[in-house]
Amino acid sequence: MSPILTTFLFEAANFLVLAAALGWFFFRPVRNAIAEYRSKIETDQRAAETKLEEARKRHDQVDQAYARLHEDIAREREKQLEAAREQAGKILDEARQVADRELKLSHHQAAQITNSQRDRLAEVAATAAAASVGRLLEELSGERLHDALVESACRQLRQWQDGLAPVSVEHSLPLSETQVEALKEAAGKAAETAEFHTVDGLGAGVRVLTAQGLVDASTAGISTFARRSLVKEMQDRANNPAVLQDVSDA
Amino acid sequence: MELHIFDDPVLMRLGPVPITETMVTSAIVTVVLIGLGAVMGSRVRSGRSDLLSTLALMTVESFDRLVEDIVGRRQTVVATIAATFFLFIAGCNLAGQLPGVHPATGSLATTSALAVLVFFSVPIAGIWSNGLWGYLKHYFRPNPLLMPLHVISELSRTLAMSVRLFGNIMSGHLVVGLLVALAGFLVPTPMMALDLLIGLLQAYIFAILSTVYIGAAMSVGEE
Repeated sequence: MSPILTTFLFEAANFLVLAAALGWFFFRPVRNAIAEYRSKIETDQRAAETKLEEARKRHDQVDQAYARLHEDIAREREKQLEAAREQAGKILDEARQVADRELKLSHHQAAQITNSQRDRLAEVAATAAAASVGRLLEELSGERLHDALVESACRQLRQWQDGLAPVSVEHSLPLSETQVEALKEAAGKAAETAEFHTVDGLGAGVRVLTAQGLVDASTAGISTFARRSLVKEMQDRANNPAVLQDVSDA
Repeated sequence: MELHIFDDPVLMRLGPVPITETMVTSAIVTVVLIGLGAVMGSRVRSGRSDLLSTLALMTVESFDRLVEDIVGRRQTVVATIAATFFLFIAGCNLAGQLPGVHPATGSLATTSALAVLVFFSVPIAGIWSNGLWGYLKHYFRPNPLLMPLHVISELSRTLAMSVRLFGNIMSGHLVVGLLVALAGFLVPTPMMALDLLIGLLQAYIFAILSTVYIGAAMSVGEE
C-alpha cells in the first residue's frame, strides 16, 4: 500500500475523528456553557430591566412627590407671606394709631404748655404792667387824684342808690370832711350805717363794699383792674389764631 | 539534516499498512488537541474561570460569530468544522517548529486530504441545507452551459487550497532547515518566527475559505 495513499486516508479519517472528538468534548460543553451564560445574562438583564423600571417608577413618584412638596412649600410660603403682610399692616396701623395718639397728646401737652406759659407770661406781663400803672398812679398821687377817685366812687354809688347797706368804705389816705360828706350823700340811706376803715395798700382813692357790689376807686384797684383787663385782653388775643398769625407775620 | 519534500518517510509497517512520519505527527497533534479540548471543556463545564476556560470560550465564540457573519445564520456544525480545521492546521504548523519534527501540513497528502474533505463537505452542506435539486440546480445557473465551469471551479479551488497550504508550510520549513544547516541555530530564528506567523495565517485562511465555500453552498437557494 502506497505511503502517500495511506497518509491521505489516515489524515482524512484523523480529521473526522478529531472534529467529532472536539465537537463532543470541547465545542458542545463550551457552547452549552455559553448558552447558560447567555441565559443567565438575559435573565439578569430582564431582572435589571424590571428593577430599572421599578426604579424609574419610584423616581417618577419621588419627582411627583417633590413637585407636590414644592407646590405645598410655595403655597405655604405665600400663605405665610400674606399672613406676615397682614400682621405687618396691623402692626403698622397700630403703630400709626399710637403715633397719632402720641402726636395728639404731644400737641395737646405742647398746647397746654404753651397756654400755661402764655398765661403765665400774660400774668407776668400784666402784673408788670399793673405795677407800672400803680407806680405811675403813685407818682401822680395827689389831692386831685384822690378827689377824682373819690368822686368816681360817688358817681358809681349814686347810680345804684337803693339797697346799698351795709356800706364799708376803705381808704389808705385820709379823707377830708368834704369827701366823707360826698360819699355819704352818694350812699344815700345806707350812709347812716356806713363804716370807714383805713387800710394799707390802697394808695389814693377809696374802696367801697356794698350789698350790691364793690366799688374800687383806688390806685390799687385800678392797678388790679388794669392787670385783669390786660390778662383778659392777652388771653383773648392768644385764643384768636388770626391775631397770633398777624403777630407772627409782623 | 535530511529534507523530504514530496516523499514521506515510513517509520514502520503494521502489516501492509505503512506508518509514515506525517501520520505519527498528525496523530500526536490530534491526541494533544483532543486532550486539551477535553480539559478545557471540563473546566468550562465546571464553571471555573481561569485562563484555559476563558480561552476556550473565546475560541468557540469567535468561530461561531465568524461563521454567523459569513453564512448569515448560526451554524454550529460548520463552525465546529472550521474551528477544527484551524486548530488542527495550526497545531501541525506549531509542531513543525519543534526540532526534528516534520509538520503534517508540510505533506501534500495531508493538505490534499483536508482539501478533499472540504470538497465533499460543500455539496453535503448544500444538499442538507437546500435539498438535492435545490443544490444541484445552482450548477445550471445562470446558464446550463456554465455547469462545467462550476465543476472546474470547485476542483480548482480544492487543488488551490491543498497546494497553497502545502507550499507555504513546506517552503517555510525548508528555508528554516536550510538556514539551520548552513548558518547554525540562532540565525534562522527570525525565519522561524515568520514561519510561525505564516503557519497561523494559513490555518486561518484555510478555515475561512472552507467556511466561505460551505456557506456559499448552503446559501445557493437564497440567491
